[in-house]
Amino acid sequence: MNKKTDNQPLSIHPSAADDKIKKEAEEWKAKYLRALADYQNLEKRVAQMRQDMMQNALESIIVEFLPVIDVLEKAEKHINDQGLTLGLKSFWNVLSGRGVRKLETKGKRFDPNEMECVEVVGDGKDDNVIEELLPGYKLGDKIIRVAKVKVGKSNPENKEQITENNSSN
Amino acid sequence: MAKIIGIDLGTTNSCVAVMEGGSPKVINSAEGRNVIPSVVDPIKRIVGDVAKRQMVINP
Repeated sequence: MNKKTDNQPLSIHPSAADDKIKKEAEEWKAKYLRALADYQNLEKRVAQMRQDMMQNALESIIVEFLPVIDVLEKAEKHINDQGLTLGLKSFWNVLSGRGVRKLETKGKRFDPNEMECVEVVGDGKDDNVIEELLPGYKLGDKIIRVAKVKVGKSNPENKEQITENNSSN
Repeated sequence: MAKIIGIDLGTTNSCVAVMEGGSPKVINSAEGRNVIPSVVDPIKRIVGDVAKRQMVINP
């Protein structure tokens, strides 16, 4: 009597055990996807770190050379020696080959991303660089040393005089 | 996934770190420094080293 006939449909109701297995499978899948994403991120980060490390090593060496360049350039101005000029030129050829560039500051508007203001001068245009005390340098797109500059500020007395003259006219 | 970030807002310098693998890792500034000067220019919306460089103009 207990024997099942072939025509009888199979029970397709999921049991509690099936539910548990499904839930566990979903949890494992989520964990796997998260681990995979973490690993892919790690791979990217390691590649980036390797590149950054090389760039930082180059940058730190160049930064150490910058005060030497400053001294040589000042000496060149005062001594006016042809040998020194030639040496400095070949030095600059190597540096520019590595992507080092001098920042242009004089006469430009003060930009705190590239320059550091050390003094405000009472004559001149507002926020315009009057004098460059120490040149700034760029390696590729990164600023490795900011320029130290004197920034102009228009004299308030002059401004008042101009406005008085304008009003009298 | 949620990350835990710790910020030390000091009077002179500030520092930001993120928990990674159970230990804090300091986040560098764009200039590559571990600490950031606690200077803010709310008008130009600039912070840190960049804001400090124009401190003489806007004291």
